[in-house]
Amino acid sequence: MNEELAAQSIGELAPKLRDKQVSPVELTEAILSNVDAYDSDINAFIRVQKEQALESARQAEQEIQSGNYRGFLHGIPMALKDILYFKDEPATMGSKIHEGFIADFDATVVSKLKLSGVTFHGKLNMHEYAWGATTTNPHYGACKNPWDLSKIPGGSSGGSGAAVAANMSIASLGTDTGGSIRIPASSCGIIGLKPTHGRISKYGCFPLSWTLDHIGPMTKTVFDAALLLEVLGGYDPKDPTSIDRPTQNYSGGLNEDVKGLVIGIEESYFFKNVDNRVNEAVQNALQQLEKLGARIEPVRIPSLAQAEFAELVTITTEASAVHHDNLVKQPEKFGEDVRFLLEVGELMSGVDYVQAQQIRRKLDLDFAAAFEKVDVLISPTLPFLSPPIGDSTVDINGQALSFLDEVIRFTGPGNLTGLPALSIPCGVRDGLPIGLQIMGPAFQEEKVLHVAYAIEKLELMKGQKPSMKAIG
Amino acid sequence: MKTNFIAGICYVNELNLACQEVLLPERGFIRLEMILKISELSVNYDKLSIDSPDSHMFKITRMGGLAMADGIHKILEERGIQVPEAHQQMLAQQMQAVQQLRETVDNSQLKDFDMALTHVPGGERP
Repeated sequence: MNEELAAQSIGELAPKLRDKQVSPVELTEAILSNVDAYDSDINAFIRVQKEQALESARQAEQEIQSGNYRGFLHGIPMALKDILYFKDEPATMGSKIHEGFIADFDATVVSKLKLSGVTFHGKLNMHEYAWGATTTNPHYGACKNPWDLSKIPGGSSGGSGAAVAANMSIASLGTDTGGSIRIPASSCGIIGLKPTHGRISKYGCFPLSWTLDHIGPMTKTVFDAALLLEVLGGYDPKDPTSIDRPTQNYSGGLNEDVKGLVIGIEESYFFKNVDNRVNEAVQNALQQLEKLGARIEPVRIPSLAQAEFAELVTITTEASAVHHDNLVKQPEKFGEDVRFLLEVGELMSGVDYVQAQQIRRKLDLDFAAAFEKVDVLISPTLPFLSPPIGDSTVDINGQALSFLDEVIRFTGPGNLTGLPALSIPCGVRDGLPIGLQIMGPAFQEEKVLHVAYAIEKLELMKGQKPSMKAIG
Repeated sequence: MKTNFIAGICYVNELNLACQEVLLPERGFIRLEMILKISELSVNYDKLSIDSPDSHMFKITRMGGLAMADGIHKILEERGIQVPEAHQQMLAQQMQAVQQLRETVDNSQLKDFDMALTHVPGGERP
């Protein structure tokens, strides 16, 4: 019973909590029981807060019993990435340097979840300072993929991906600077939504790269992602990059009808050098959508050829600016990989940075032109299946390629342009899930969610989930 | 003008740090303005460098060549950063890869594109 309860989505649990068929305490206990059973193997948590969670669950129960139900998130247990600030609580950012840091205010997203009645039961493992995509953390241990413990869960929000996939959190939040929501979502077989830049406030999130950073939901279902976007979206004057655009009733607007929908495919960039198994799974999803009445339309976005340069320059330089003092004063406290990337960022020139921003402008306009012809763009989220922990290369059709170069190839453009992008599982090959990426026009998350919902209804995963019996 | 190009090699990290210094006294403000001007100016005049690739101007407006020639670790050490020996070769390889990526950037195609960073006077969006 506990296992079944913890495996449900927000959409399934909320009516039961509201109607008092399930108690928030019972649900929190079920989640904590899974954390006890599985996390010694998976290592998704940096900190588990059992007592705090149970106390919060008891309060939620009391409120619901007395008729003060706050809405869909009331009594839902969630653990968040340890880069988001909770007032008077530690936030490590997955680092040694910030080990003793206590935040003195709540992140805006945390405030919103608190107001909605979420029960928090811990802080999740991540790549150190979110600067990497493996979540092989040198200070808190490697987080492992629940589908195969020898493989990475992706990153940087790997703890969030693994915790949701292993039913150790009903949903979570991640941060995404080059793909750090979508990469672990793809690797762990869950939904990851990076909204439009400016849609969700970043106030109270430790920065990696100011102009590329995003916060977004990581969930079991598209409905849950839509629901969290409704709660978390909206203008925040405390975040200088926040944009005042109205949000929508995203969850209420979901439907699976794709007749007449035009799906753009940029073959020369997003389908080049892709693992055959990944390509086959994504093509299968496209064929199924076509059968339902969607139209596939080839598009060209020439400036994508320069996207890798723009992403590399922007992320490395901004991250090195954030960490410059610590790189000078206490470099030995960084993990080797992060220290190396911070050194790289110090070597970029002002010219490189300005040109990277010019490329971003060109990308913005090229994508906008593409979205005049198509509703969404579809691609694989990653060009490969999750590699073994510790590997610095990935195998793509027998070719060993640099993990770092390949991992953000398809997700990076979403950060450069700030356009909404979502990863949804579209199949399992060799025991590992495959993610499909949907990108949409700026501030039109509803289009991305709509297509994701239609894909979810295709049941391409055929009910496959990580085998938790093999863990714990 | 040549001085401006020479200054154009300033690291972007300097630019970002200078931005952080904007609230500090006069010196910081002047530094910020100078770095922003020279970085953008060097982008606009990059075509000259491409037209005469053997010129000093070309060599110095692009960090990669300079870094490779003079030793990356020395450049970082001048900035107060100690580079582990194991990183030196890796950094050289990485900067070679960056140089290859730089070659994908055709400046003539970018000339019409504003860098589009906005500064909000007064600090608040309208």
